[in-house]
Amino acid sequence: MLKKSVIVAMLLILAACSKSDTDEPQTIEAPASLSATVISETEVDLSWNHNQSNTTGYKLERKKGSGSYSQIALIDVPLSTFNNVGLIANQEYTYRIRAYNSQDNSAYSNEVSIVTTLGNQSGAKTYYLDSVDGDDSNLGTNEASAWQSISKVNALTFSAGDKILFKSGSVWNGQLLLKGSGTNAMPIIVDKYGTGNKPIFNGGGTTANDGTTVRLKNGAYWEINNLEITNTDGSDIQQGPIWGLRVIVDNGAEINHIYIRDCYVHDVNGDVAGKDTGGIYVTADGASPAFYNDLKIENNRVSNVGGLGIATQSPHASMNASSRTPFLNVRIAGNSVGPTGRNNMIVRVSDDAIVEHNRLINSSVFDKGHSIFNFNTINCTMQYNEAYGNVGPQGVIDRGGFDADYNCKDTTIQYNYSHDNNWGFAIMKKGINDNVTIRYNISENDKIAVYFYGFEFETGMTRANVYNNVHYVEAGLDVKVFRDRTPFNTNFYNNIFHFEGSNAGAWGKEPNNCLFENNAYYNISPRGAGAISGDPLFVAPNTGGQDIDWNNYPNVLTGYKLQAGSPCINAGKVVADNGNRDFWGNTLYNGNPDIGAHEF
Amino acid sequence: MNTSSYKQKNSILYSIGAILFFILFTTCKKESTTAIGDANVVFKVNNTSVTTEEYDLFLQDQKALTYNYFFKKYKAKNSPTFWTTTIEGETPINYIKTKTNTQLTSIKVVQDYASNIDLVPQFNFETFITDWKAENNRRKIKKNAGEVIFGPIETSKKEYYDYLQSNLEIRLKDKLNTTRFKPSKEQLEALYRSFKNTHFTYNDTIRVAYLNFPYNTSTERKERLKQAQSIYGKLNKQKPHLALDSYKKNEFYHTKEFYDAVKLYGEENPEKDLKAYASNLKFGVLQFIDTKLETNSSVYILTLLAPHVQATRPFDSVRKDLSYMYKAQKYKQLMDSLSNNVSIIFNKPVYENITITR
Repeated sequence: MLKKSVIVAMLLILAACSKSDTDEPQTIEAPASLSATVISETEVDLSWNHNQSNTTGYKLERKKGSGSYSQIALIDVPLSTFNNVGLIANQEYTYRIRAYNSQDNSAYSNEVSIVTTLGNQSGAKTYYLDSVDGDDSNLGTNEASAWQSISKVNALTFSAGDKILFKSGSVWNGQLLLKGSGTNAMPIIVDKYGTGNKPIFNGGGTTANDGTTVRLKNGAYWEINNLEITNTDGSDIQQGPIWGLRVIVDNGAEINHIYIRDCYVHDVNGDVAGKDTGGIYVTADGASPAFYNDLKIENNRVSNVGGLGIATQSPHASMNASSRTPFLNVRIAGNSVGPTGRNNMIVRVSDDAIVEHNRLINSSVFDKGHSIFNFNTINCTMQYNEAYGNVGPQGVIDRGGFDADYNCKDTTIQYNYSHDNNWGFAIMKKGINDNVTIRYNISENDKIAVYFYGFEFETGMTRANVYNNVHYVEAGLDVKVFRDRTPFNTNFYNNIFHFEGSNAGAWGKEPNNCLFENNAYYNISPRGAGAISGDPLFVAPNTGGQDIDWNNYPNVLTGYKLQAGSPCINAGKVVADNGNRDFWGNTLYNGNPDIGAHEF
Repeated sequence: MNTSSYKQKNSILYSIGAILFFILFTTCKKESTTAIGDANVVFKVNNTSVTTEEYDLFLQDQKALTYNYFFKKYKAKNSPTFWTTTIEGETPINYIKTKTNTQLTSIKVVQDYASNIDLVPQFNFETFITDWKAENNRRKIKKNAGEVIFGPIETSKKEYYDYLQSNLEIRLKDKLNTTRFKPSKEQLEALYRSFKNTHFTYNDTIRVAYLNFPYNTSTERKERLKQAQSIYGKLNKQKPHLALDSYKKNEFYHTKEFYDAVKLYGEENPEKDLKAYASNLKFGVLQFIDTKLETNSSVYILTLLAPHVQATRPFDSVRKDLSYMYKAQKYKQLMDSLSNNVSIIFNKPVYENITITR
């Protein structure tokens, strides 16, 4: 009995000794190639390689600086990545990992060390400025110790995540010159704080530092919001090539994420009309091609400026150049622009630009110019804009609502409302001008003509498509569809030409190489196949921008929908790639296509 | 007619109009100050009330320019006492009130007249505010429903006011143009005779020699400007034709003939701009042209190769221009007349108590 007990005890001791000698059995392969990527000041992504056979999961360990390892996570297979959050900014962390199963742990992987980025807690700052209660000897980093002068801001180069906040109701006379760059995750923000009027920046007619009151130069990832900006010496005369707000890049860089929002730019220069002056101007320059990617100019108000309202420009994206470097991801939207000395808006050198929901008012007060035009663009879309009141002495000059100008390809003008412009609704210019589409717009009481062509002898425009537009002309206006320029190379499908009153409408110049099909004509001689003559039975025409009813503001433009029984219903021609909806957002088509901007 | 002459002529007309309006406004209008008895009214224009809220809307819009004026003239900065500090007889609070009064008076004259001829109902600011809120709400609902909205989704109070007012003026002009301002042929002919030389005489043929220094970037512009200035400085201004002749073999040298019958189109067409410069040029003059455009333009030195061949557009070809000019004149005369006879009654206790904080 004793002998047996001794033998068992010895075996147990041997077994125990055997286990401790081997430390950990190598039954699971160790993970390899552990790597770490810093995502932000508080976040790291980890990944590793492992065959995962006979493996339940992983034990991830971490140490901070020169401290000791501690296990921070158990990770189940089949995962081989881990997102470690809640870290401290600007801190060194080292990681290792091992696999485990119900019996064993593997050996450790390689170690990997990273340092988290500088974050708000360590790097980014918020600066406050108050023109009345601020003091330049303050720290400037909280409301109670705001700076007073913009020279404090002009002296700094800002970094990712910085904010420059100006007290509402403050006023600065001088230039705000912004420098530095943010990051995708942490743009630099300019904004107001407190309640009341937007902070005011008066340039006083300055021509220094690129002649602008507010300037951002060679900086990426900026958002400029809620500033009121002027630049005038108070006179009505020419004060030089001056602007309200400029963004400039001239260092050959790709500048990402420039947002200009909710600013009020007004009273720039005198009663002048040059293209070298105006409200908001975003430009590239320099010997090496530079451009913007993700440019947003939104919800700004620009009024009473000499020259242009909002414009872009670059020497690096000419349509004639062997290689172009256009601006990308441009959105100009929700702005209210006008009156302006010259054009309300010029969209240049941008590919795939979206120009929408803008209100374009009283363009070109001191000269000529269309409310909006594009130049050196590809695939520019102008939609949901309202353009009106572009008036001046008549004659053969540029003074319309929407201009598909030359040196452009794939311009689309759709879902816009044009009214009371002195020189028509839409214009098409000479070549290079490929693939112009003008569809589902409403033109009400645009004068002189409906369409102009920006050429008489020079052509070169490829075939344009003009379809499903409504053109309404009230009684008493002398309007010709094509007054002074010969229409050329255009398909006119499904449009309504409606001339109200006893004076019949007239065509003007005889079209050259144009095709008219399935259009509706009221009080004007029909032309082309499938023509519908007679009253299109609008719900209530002429009730758009004309109806100023203080007591009951109308649901504008529903007057151009069709009534039941309209001869335009189901009388149109199928148009491919038609945008899929009508002016009011109805899906196309309901049965056969309708004529006009409404799919009944 | 070229761009510059249009601009110049318009500027002259506008300037004369502005001076006349100022004289009429300051000398003939009837202003009085009294207690209207309504604490919500600042002043009345022809019995149309301007409420405190409406007044404030326009007052706030004048702040930036008032600060600008006092800084430019007196170096006065924003301070707690800015609005009430008198400098050389001028006080910001009075300055901004005067600007606001002028602006609102001209607006009320239009509104008042439009309602008198039954074009629109009498303007009421409270109704306007209700409308504004309803319009923004309507647009928001439509956007959320995925429906189409043209123009901005949301507009500020002042934007909406300006939007309605600008449309009202368009509508008023249309109404007057079709009912009252209907010129006879004799009236248009009289206008034609008055403006024939200034507005309707044109250059039928323009022959120009020029040195062209094109540039793409602003750096190139500086170089071209310097180069052009250097050459211009050496040219004989007394004999410009011969002076440019010496550059005939140079790549910068060009000649061009422009004809009135050959229209040049395109908003960014440099030839169109060159034609305009040449059209304004006198024979025997050597002109240096800096377009001032930072990029994508040219510096020119140009002179005419021959005097302009001028012609006058016949009456029938400019009838629409004359009609436009006639109607614009008539509208301005009407507005001047209405402003001249306007009755303004200030509600003294309210008006004088208007204060501005920063």
